[in-house]
Amino acid sequence: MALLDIKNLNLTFRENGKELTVLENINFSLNEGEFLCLVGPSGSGKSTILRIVSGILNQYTGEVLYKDQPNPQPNPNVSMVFQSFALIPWLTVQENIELVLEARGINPRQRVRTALKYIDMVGLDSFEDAYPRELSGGMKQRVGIARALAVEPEILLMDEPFSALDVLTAADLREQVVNLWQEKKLPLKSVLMVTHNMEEAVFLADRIIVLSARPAHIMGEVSVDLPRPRDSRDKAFEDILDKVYSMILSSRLGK
Amino acid sequence: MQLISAACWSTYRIFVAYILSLAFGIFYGVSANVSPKREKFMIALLDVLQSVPILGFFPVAIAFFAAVFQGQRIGLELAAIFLIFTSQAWNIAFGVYETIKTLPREFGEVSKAFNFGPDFTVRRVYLPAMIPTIVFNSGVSMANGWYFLMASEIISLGNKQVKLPGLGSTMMSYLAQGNIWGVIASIGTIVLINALLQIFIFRPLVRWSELFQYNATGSAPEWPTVVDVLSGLGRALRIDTFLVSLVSLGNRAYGKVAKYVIYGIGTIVAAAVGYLLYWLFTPPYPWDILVQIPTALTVTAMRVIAAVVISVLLALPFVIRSVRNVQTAQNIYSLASILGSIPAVIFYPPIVALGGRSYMELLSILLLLTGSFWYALFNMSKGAMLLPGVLTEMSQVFNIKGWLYYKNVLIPAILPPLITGALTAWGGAWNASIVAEHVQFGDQVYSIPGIGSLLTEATSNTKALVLTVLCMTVLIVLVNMLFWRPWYSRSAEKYNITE
Ligand SMILES: Nc1ncnc2c1ncn2[C@@H]1O[C@H](COP(=O)(O)OP(=O)(O)OP(=O)(O)O)[C@@H](O)[C@H]1O
Ligand SMILES: [Mg+2]
Repeated sequence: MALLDIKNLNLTFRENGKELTVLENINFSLNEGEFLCLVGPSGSGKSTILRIVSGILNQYTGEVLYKDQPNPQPNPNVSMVFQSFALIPWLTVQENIELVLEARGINPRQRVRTALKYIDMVGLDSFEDAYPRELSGGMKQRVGIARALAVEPEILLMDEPFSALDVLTAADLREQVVNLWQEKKLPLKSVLMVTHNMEEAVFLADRIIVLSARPAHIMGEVSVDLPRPRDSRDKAFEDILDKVYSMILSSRLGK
Repeated sequence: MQLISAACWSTYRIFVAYILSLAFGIFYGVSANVSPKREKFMIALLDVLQSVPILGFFPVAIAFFAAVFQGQRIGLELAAIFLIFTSQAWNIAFGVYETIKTLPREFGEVSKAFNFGPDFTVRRVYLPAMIPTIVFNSGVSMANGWYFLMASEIISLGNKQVKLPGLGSTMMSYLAQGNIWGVIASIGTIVLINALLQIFIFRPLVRWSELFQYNATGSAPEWPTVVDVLSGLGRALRIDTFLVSLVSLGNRAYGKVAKYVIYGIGTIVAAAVGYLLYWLFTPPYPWDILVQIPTALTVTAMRVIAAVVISVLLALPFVIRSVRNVQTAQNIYSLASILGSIPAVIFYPPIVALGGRSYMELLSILLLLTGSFWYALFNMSKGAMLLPGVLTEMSQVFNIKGWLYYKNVLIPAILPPLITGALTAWGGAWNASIVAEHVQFGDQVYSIPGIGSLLTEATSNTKALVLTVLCMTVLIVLVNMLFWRPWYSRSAEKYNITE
């Protein structure tokens, strides 16, 4: 069953007379229980798609359906990890996470407990009281991940969530997110993630959608039918990776 | 003893006016961002309000309050508070407007993505984001309130003068008695009050407010005690709830109440303007004054331009030192707040008398500077302090130094606040010009040609007075609209340093 249906999505930015078409006829769905990755060239419109799904942007044409109904704006069952972190500078790590919980009317004691739990999960314990300005890029990114998870959404949108992290921390966090998603203890059902790292996409996704350069349209998609946990040295893994690469190459050549 | 009670009276008026200015500024600044249509109208109106030479319009406002309260003391108090308010409110409103307009996109996106309600967004995102501007612009506003102290405490009603108790009127009576020590003690009291305010309230606040800056780097400032005290007080008085309702009122897209309030005020203003115009265009016309206006405006404009240019140039060295340096910026802020609060006008008559008519041209520019320099300094050092760290770090890495650094990095990066500084200095200088060109000391009268002395000449004829002030205002507003605003938008767009 499709949790999210995106139909004939088109978007053109208009600014002082100039027009910039970013999305052109995008159609895809995010199924229940699915981990979906979006890949595509820089500036193609991947973040824009996530912005539309999360309800930040609404001047598109086309349809975004959540459980066959128009996607509410904002949709409380959707949460997002921002590419630019988007932390509030005057709040500490813990306060940043508590803020989004408070906005949902969660009581103070529960807020603290949940915030600390996710801070711990992303490995930032002992940094609860630090301000964003005192953190490195990767640490800020982890706060962003903790914040998005803390509201315990059904759909998790992630915009290059592991890009600023070292290899080990990234691997660790990927595993944690996959576990949360597989365990099904949380409401979390599906993940829609943007990445530039093809190996990461094959490692995580059930399905990979390849976008063209701007204006973005869908070049094609690759299913990843591999058992988890996956191993990047498997022959089958490498075959799928090759397939994704060749599709991206053809998107570069503009076919 | 007399000084202490006078000081209490003045401080009370300035604080009441300041609190009203804050409430007004927050409401107005947020409202102006609600829709582009409203923005155009409200900002144009604010431009006019800011450019109206306050000193020129004082008599009109006083007549109004005196008439409403039939000459009772409360009416005069309100008139005084209103006059101080007009010297404080516009600059806070502009600051709030600009902050909200240039708020980083991320704030709005987080609020939307995580489903913050409108009031929650106001309380947790908008209000905190305004703190740096409010703190910084409060420095200008406070200084301004003290600068206009005498004008607000000595009120002319028809042809009799009424004095309200306060430092301004006390100082004037000392001066009239020739009691130099009394004058010095009054000035000392003003400086002392402002120094105390700086040390215990504003300096800690400036440092702390840096926490609320979007692109700040490095270790976070500590929470000073004064913030705890103020926020405790605020909570006890439910100020936070009040501010949130105030901002939501301004924020509500087509909020009926806000709309009616604005339209209501608009109608009253339009009616008043309509009546004024009708009255102005019924004969007789004061031709003898009217024919002098063009030359007078030109002469004064020359002096004002000189004052603006000198203000900006004088401020530059200070500004360069406060780049990315909170400590220096904080010191400049305190110094400017304290010195800027001295009502320099008081020294002017004796100095002119001492120098004589031949130096008055020069001295008048000096007086204009006391009304304009602080604006330039405040705005420019605020811009320099908040310069993103990456810019200076990048310049170091690529070894961009000297002239190249100033020309291609520093000046462009602080151009928007520099223009704001010059614009406000321009308004301040015009305002000061009203008292700069005509001086009475003892029974000697000194005067140089210009719009200020023309105003003095026209006092006996209300119609001539209003027409002169009106012409002056129109010129100031035209220059704002045709020169400053377009320049500001272009540079803010081109050198926008928020990513
Ligand atoms: N608010 C906006 N106004 C105008 N143009 C915009 C706006 N937001 C994005 N764009 C443009 O839309 C295009 C797509 O932007 P988007 O951020 O979605 O790219 P992306 O695929 O996420 O790129 P990257 O991989 O580099 O993050 C870009 O060309 C960008 O300049
Ligand atoms: Mg992106």
